[in-house]
Amino acid sequence: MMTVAEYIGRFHPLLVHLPIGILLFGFALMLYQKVRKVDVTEAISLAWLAGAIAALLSCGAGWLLAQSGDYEAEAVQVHQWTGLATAALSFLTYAFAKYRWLLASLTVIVLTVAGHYGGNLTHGEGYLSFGNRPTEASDTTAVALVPEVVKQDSSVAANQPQVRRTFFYRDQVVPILEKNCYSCHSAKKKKGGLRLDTEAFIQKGGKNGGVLVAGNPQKSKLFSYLLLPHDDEMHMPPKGKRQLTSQEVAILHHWIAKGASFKEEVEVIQNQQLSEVEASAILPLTLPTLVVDSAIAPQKETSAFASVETSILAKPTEAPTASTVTYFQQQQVTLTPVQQGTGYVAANFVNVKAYQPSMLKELSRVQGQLVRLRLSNQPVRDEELKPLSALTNLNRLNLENTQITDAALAELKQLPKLEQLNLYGTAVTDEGIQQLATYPQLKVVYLWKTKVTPQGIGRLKRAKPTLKIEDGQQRFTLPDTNKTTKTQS
Amino acid sequence: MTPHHDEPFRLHTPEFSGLNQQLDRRDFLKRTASGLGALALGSLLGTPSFGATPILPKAKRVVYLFMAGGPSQFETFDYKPKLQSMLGAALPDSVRKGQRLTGMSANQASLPIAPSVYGFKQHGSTRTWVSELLPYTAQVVDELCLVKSLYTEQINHDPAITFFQTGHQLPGRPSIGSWVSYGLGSENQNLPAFIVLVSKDASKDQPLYARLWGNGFLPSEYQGVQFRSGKDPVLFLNNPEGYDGTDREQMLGYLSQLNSLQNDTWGDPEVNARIAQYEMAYRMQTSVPEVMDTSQEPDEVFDLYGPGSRDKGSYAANCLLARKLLEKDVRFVQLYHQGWDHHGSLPKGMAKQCKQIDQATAGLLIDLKRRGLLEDTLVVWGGEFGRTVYSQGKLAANDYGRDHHPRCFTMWMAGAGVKSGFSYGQTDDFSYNIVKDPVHVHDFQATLLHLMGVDHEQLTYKYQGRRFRLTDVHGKLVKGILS
Repeated sequence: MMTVAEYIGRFHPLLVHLPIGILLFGFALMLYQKVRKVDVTEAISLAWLAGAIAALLSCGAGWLLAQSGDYEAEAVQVHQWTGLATAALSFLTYAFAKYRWLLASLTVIVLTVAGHYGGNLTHGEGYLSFGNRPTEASDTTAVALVPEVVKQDSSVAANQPQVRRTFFYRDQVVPILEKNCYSCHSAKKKKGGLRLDTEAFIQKGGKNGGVLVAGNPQKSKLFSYLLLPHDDEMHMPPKGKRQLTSQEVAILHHWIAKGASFKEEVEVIQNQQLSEVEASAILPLTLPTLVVDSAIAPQKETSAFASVETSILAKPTEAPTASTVTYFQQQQVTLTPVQQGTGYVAANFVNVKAYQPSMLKELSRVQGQLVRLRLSNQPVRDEELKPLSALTNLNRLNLENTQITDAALAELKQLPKLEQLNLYGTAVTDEGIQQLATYPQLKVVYLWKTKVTPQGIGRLKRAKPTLKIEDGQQRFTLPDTNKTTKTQS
Repeated sequence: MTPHHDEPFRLHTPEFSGLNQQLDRRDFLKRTASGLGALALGSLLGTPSFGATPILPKAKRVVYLFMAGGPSQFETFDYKPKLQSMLGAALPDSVRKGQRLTGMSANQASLPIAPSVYGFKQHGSTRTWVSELLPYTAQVVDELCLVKSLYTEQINHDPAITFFQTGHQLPGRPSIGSWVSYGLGSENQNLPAFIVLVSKDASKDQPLYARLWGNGFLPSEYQGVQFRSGKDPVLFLNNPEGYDGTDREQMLGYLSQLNSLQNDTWGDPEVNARIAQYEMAYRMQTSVPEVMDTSQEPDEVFDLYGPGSRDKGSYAANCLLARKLLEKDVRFVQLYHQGWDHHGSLPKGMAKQCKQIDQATAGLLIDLKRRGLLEDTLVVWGGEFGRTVYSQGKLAANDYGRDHHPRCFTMWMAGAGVKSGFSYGQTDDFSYNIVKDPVHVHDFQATLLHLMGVDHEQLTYKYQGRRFRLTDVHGKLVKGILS
């Protein structure tokens, strides 16, 4: 729980800019007076007084911030004393107009020192140093991931066992943490009580508990927070800071999944295995898409048919080209995105006045993108459905009130991702619908007003118990029309 | 065809050229910045989508059954058995907590508790309590997602309805249906995206105004279009007598040219809206009679919706019509049923009102379900506020009235994206205050938009210098009811 004092303390990095600005302006006024020979003494005094007060306030807020414990006491020392000196000196500058030039110059020097150390606390040491910033390129890491295979003795026979040394933590993980996390989670600053600079601290976790569950990246905040939506408060690194590359995320995932070892691994391997080992260690590691899905949406999408559809939509795809959209528009087929920001589309034939079988052939233009297709009430025939088998991502298909029969159901078996199929008002029969049991993903089927009998539905249910069948047989029981009486149970 | 109709229409007078140059900055900006309406198509062509995190839309269509007047939660869904022993007892101050009452009952000498005269029974596999006034709805209760903890800020009809429909108590903002049609466009080119049906079989003690389905500051093509039950379902749609279709088409073509010219000159989006509306009206000349014609429906369908369904313009007939519209992929159907404002003689009034809507509402759910429409259609049922636990006016054993009560009331949703057979939120023993999971009107609106795949914070329209939203600066998603 954050106290009010701590909250005020957080304004320190903001407040400090007031004295810096005002005091420097006071100094600038003094120079101005000297050069231009105009009398602005009063303004100078005012500036120094205002600056001194602002400096004092900043010191107060800074002290509160230091109490939060997020900063290493030692690192704060220099900043603290130079900061206080700045405040004191600026008051003196204001009070002793006679020695103003000397005092003011001193103040500016001390102020610069205090500012520099403050900056180091906030942005991390080395923020301003020019040459030796942590390397951005991943060349070094790429090299290091290839395990070091040391031949014990070159003269030893080729089938002698060899030793493989990998120090994944030191070579792969630390550079990532150093580059992305240390500025807030290390000796200088420990946001949320968390330090990530040594094994012991990583194991210990922060104020809110552990961050690492060896072997389970999903449960390790060290990994899962990286994948939260960017506007999520808990997303790390925070909004605006440099974000991890997917390669870096993959490395962390790999490390935690493999048990999060902090030691150097030494394996003895047989020579003939060597080539395999080398092959498996080649960069780049890929982050399985599934990992991203489950981490971003760990608890959502419990409904029966959401899973296949969401997994389709999770894979990026190109949106249909403008000419494709226009083409379908001219055919009066409405093409709409299934979800904003994806290229997947739904095609709707509700506006089509003159249906032509060729229209279904043209759906190959959106072969990979078509997720939903609505052919309701169009005079579609069995043989015309052939082109549909190429629609590998088709998830919902509406064929209600079309002229299809059992033959169509054999055709549609090819669709690998079909989850919902609407067949109401068609001529399908008991025999035909038994084929639905072999559909790989089918979850819901609508069979009202078909030639299907309860016996046929019973057979299908036994063959595929998970299938939800809507037969439209729900009827009202007529309520008692006698005067409603007061009933209690 | 006369040749001069095909020539491009130009004016070459000095005055006109001058006007051309006066296209001022504001009109230019308005012209370039507006027109999100074609977003459905635009986003396919690579324009950025709205919403930072895209939402998968669960509902493609909405039918909103608005019970105007404020139906009592006590005689419908919010079962309060403890009140039975408290007949006539004064409402405890600890419950009322000095909260405001309307002017109609604020000066009453006492506020006697009036328990429901109608019994409740448990129904469905979820054992949900439903009043005996709703025997048909009770049979589909497993489809419903009851929200018992709605609350509003408005205590009188007009501001409360306006608040529900537009997100603000003062008139002038776009209705939910307008926002949805502006944001998502329409899949059916031949019918408006937002259609309104007002039922005739109800007392009209509280009026409805066309501005409740108005477009506010959005371009006027997004306003709700009312379909009536008489000879002309949409007024002024048919050709004048002795005027045939070809003439009409030619005239509209020429008019459209004139309008385009006007649009090129002034860049006023309302001109575009006008062109779109003329074109839509022309297409509706054939599509509307087609969709309004229920003569092809089998008897079984009329039986499902109940005896009123053959009487055009009744609530039951409107429910049947709503199903036909949804089948045609109309985006938003707003259906009104008035007469729920029972300040006196509530038991009699509620019995009559419930009878009018019960079977048709349940029938609509069954009809949507068997046609496979319920999976991507959201059905909403509810009024603008609830009613008080105490009797307004004299309390008799079998007669009482209830005043307006904005602090808690029940609504239900069903279909796309919401949990079925589920109750959300809870009121105290007096159904006076909410004790668990309150849902504000703006929260409801945010959730409705979310179900349609729209982030309520991102769907905005700039007007008079600020960006407006349906939920103003409020509204949180009710995650608890999402399936």
